[in-house]
Amino acid sequence: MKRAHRTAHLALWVVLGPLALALLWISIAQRPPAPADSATAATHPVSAETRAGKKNATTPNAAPAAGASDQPATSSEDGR
Amino acid sequence: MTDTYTSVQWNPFKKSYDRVLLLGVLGYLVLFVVGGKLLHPGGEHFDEPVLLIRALGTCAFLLLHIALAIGPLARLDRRWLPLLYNRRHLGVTTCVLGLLHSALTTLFYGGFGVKSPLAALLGGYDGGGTLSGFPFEVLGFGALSVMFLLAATSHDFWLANLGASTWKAIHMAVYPAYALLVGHVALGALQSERHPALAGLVGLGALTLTVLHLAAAFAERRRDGQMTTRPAADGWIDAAAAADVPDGRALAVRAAGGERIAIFRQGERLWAVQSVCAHQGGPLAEGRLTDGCITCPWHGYQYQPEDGRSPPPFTERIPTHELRVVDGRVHVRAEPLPPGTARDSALHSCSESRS
Repeated sequence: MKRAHRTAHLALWVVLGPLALALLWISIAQRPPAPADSATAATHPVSAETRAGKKNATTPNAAPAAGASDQPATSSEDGR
Repeated sequence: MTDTYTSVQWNPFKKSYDRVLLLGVLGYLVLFVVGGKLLHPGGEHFDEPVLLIRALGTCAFLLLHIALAIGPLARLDRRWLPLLYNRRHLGVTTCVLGLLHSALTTLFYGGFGVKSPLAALLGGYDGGGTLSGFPFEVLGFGALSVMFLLAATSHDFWLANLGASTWKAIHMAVYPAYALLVGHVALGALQSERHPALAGLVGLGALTLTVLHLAAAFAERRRDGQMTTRPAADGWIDAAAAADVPDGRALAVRAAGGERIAIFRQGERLWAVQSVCAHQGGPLAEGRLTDGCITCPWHGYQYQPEDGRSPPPFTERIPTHELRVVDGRVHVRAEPLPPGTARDSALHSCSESRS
């Protein structure tokens, strides 16, 4: 490799390696406590994707404004 | 190198490499889905699409780790070099798996709704300012975009048109893409999948890659320091004793602030060329003379030592350096000659010089 690429390679890993590890550490440390129904929390495949009401795996995205659609809004994740 | 255009120059090694790769990927996907069904029989949240989404995502992430580990491993130990030869195939396969993971996720979780699937998947951050609610899909989308760009430009057609330096600079974007993927996994799957082994594996992967890349980078810096010499006022470097240059191989030197120079010896003849392959910047000084040509250890590109040109009909060129032998010692001019320049005094007899 050219000298410039060797230098860039070193600089990238000096920054990105610790950054990735720190991000992983913080994301685990700040993880909210598991729901009381731990069996569901541990195995639920869409809980991450649907948390905070962001996703809707059933109808699947956010409910439309009233009257905008006759598609029923649902909070159930199991109706897909 | 190609004479006439061939999209992929297949050879037995390349075919075996790809066969193992394909079988490995298919085996992993089948094992993941079938294993998931067997471990969670009747589990409604372990249906095939979800398992396949997870299998594709984890397979792509695992392959990216392997692809990123090959480079530093080959720098630290030459025995890993054969894996480097087709590393791009690993990268392209990673991108294809990532695209399938992304497409399936987008349709499964975001399809058939009021919003467009992409808007449903990427929009609407409502995490209350916490990391846990961060839209991790955006990180995955960013990484996939980079991976797609790299896969699309991975062919030698782009390498030849962009130039090795620009191509290499673009393809270093795979490192930020990896960091984005760690964020995607940490803020996505690891928020709901709480088994410590999963977080441990992701951490171990990131730590291993970081240590390997830093170790390889610092080893290169150390080598640079050991081979660096300050040129004399007339621009010549006293590189080494001619007898110390291994026959059929090279000895590397470097002028402070310059690129590495490879001094090759065949019998009593000596040549000096810049130690950077025109293809992907491979370390020519670590190659050998094969059939009278300098052969790059990375992908086998060849150059005539006399003028730094690839043997006809190939057209690659590398810079050459003037070389002389004085009292049995090899001197090279620090300043390179333009790529492909033949030197009048490229050939020297060590025995004559020593006498």
